[in-house]
This record gives sequence, C-alpha cells and structure tokens, in this order.
Amino acid sequence: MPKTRDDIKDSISGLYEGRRAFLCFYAMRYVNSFQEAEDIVQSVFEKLLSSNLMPENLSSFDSYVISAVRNSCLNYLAQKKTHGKYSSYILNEERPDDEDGFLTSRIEAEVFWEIFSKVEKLPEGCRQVFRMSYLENFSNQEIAERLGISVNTVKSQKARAKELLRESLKDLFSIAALLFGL
Amino acid sequence: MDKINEERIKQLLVKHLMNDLDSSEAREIDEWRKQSPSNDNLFLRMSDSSYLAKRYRDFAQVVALETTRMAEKKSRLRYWLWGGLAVAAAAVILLFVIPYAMKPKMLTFSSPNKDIASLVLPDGSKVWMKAASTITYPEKFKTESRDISFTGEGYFEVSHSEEPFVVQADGFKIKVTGTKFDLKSYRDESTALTALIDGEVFIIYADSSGVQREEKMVGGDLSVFDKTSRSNNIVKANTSIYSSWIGGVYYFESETVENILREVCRYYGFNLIIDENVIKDKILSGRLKMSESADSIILAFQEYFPGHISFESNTIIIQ
Repeated sequence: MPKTRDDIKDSISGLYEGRRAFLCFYAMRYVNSFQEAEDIVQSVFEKLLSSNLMPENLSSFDSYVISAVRNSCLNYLAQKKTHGKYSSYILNEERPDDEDGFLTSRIEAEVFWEIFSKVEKLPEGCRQVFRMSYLENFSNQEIAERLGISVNTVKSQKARAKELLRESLKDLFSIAALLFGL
Repeated sequence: MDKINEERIKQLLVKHLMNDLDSSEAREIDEWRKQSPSNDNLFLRMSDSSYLAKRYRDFAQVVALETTRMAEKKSRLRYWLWGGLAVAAAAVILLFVIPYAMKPKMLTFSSPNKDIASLVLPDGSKVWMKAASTITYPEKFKTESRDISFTGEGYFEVSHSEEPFVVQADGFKIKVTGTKFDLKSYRDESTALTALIDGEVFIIYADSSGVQREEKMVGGDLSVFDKTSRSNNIVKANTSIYSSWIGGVYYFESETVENILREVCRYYGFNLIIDENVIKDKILSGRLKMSESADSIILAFQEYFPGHISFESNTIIIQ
C-alpha cells in the first residue's frame, strides 16, 4: 500500500519518540552536554522529516539514523575550537566514513544502555551501592561512610546486586543470537 | 561483522564488564580484538572505569530528563481525555460528574540555566526557582489542599490559608499552611534539604520500614532528608543563608569543594568531571556572586587550587 507523506511523517515521529533517549545518550559520547546532544538529535530528525526519505525497513532505518547522529556529532566537534578529554580523543580516532568506528560506537552504546537500564531496575538499596562501587569507583569504606551503613552491608549489597544483575542480563543479546542460529 | 557476530560480541562484552568471562570466552574476545584497531579501542574504552562512570552519568541525565518529559506528557494527555469526554457526554456530566470531570490542567515550568525564575501560584504564593529546577502545579488548586511537585532548588513564600500547601519532593512531602522556606531536592543527590525561615512545616515521609512519619519543624530548623536510608534529621541552622541565592549570591558554610562546584555547574549549565579525590572533599565557607561571569568564578577556584581545576568546553574538571 502506498504511503502518504503524512504516514511517513507519523512513523518518523513515532520512531523519534521511542529512540530519542537512546540517541541522546549515544550523542553524549561525542559532545559534552545533554543540551548539545539533544539539539543534534532534534536537527537530524527535522532534516529527516523535511526530506522525502521513506523508512522501508525499520532496523536499517534505525541504523541510518544512528549514523546520521554520529556524523552530525563529528562535524560539530570538528567545528568547535575547544575540546573535552574524550572528545579530543574521539576526533583523533574516528572519521565520518569509517565503518568500523561506527559499528563499534554503536555496539558500545547499546551494551552500556542495556546494562545501565538493568542497573536502574535494581532494588533501591543495592542499586545505590552498585552504582557507587562499579560506576563511580568509590571504595567499600567510602560507600559505607557516605550511606551511613556498615562495610559488611556494602559487601553483601554488592554481591546481591551482582547476582540480580547477572540474572537479568542472562538472556540479553542471546535471544537474538538464538534467532540467528548461534 | 555480521549480525550473529555482533550479538555474540555484545554478549561477551556484557560478561566482560560483569567479570564473568570464562577462559574460552576470554580467548574469543581476544581474537576479536585482534581483528581491527576499532575493536581493540572499543574493548579498552569499555574497560576504562572512569569512562564507564562518565557514560553512566550521561545515562542518568538522559533518563532523568526523559522521565520528567513523560510525566508532563501524561498530565497533558489526561486533561485532553477528560476534555473529550466532557464534550461527548455533556448532559450526563452536567447532572452527575461535574466535580470529577473538572480535573484541573497541570502546568509545568522549568527554569532556564544561568537564571533565577520566579512565579506566582494560583493561591498567590510565590516561588523563586534556581537554574534547572522544575515545578508542576494545577491551573487551579483543589479546595481541600494546594498540591504541587518540585525538583531542584526553590524558595517558597506560601500565602496563609486554611488549606495546607503540600510540596511533593523526591521521596518526601512538605506540608505547610503559610510560611517561608527553601527546598533543595535534586534527583541526582542523595540528600534533600529544607530550610525553614519562619512559621512551621511538617516533613512527611515513609521510613525504611514503610511507616508513615510526620515531623514538625519550626523557624530556624534545617531538615536533612536522606533518600537512601529514608531518614530525616532536623537540626538548628542559620537558615536565612539558604535563600540568599534569590539575590544572586550563593553563600556556603563548611561545604565541600565538590558540592560548591556542582552548584556552580548547575547554575551555568556546565558539566563536572572529578578525576582525582585530593581536593574535592576540602571544606570551604564563603560566598559567590552568581551574576558575575562564570570565567571569573572559575578563575578564583583555579587561583585557590593551582593546577587542580581546569575548564574546557563547558566542563569543569577537578584533577
């Protein structure tokens, strides 16, 4: 069935709503602030909406949008005069047309996104401890002081968090692997 | 790399981050690293704990902002649904359900970076909001209580009235009838502060065992609510300094360098990266004129801690 311009616009807007958070997270790998990331993601979608491009296949379209965001970020970085610690590193390492760089940047963002989403779903107490320990590099002693709990509680919460996380990450990405016959 | 390999690599990377690789999996990932410099870079990057921490902060920021947006959208949608229903069944509603269909429209307002915003609520109460704070309130208050929700830092002058004025903060509520207080409740901080200038307020929360508590504060009290342990501690303090920011001056007493710079970053919309623990816990007292340019404030810190503070592309780095 032929799609009208409005249908296309609707499906792009729908996609934008669902993917905006991930795309902003992805863009923040390149730029320094959420505002910059959001502006870039927004302008990529505005460009898509004003073009006549039709998403034929959602998964390849998604990949296309991610690469458009990446290219916008790299162009934006190239124009900026000053750079943060990671962005200057990125400018040396990545080029807009480099396929490998794109693929690995996407894999990285997807893996982080999945793990962090699972961390957010941990029960409050162990989430806090897990976050401070593995993601913010505090020592057990420091965590105990900051949260006003004993070092032993910190240890047991860490172990519990890891167990829960291991359980919830077990099937991650393996379903896809199963479908592809691995 | 085809789809199968890609999924397999993701799975191995997850295991690697969880420290769960067995020896054959470790060999598999080593093989993959040798295939291209990009692969190797990806592996090294993801193994760098400071990079992981930075990406987690990015993630937390995206999620927090996205959650706020969804909440706004929901409240708009609810109003719209009620509106549609009201038209379709006007007659019935007129007779029976007017009180329910008159659900008030919720308004949300966020203050911009680098600015203090003030607004007057429907009951005449005034709110001053620090940069990057958000308030949600109904277009018209209910008859039995005046309910609003708030994140960030705000100074409230609540007009006196029989109906309680209730602020929903992150994890607790503040109930007042008419008074002046300052609330500091950011989603990304584990404690929230309520400083009462005069009058009385109640802090309402469920403690760690789920018991509902209501604790009274009087003028000059400071409540420190710990969101993690769900406990509230009320102490005497010089509460008037907590609202000094309305005049564009940020007073701090025995505050850590980390917290002071976090405040500066929030105000100017900068990011904060902490590379080193040496100076972040140093304690300072003093005041900063926020109306001055960010450069002069950062310069002052750089002179105070030579070699430890740097600033580039909207990011303050403590090193």
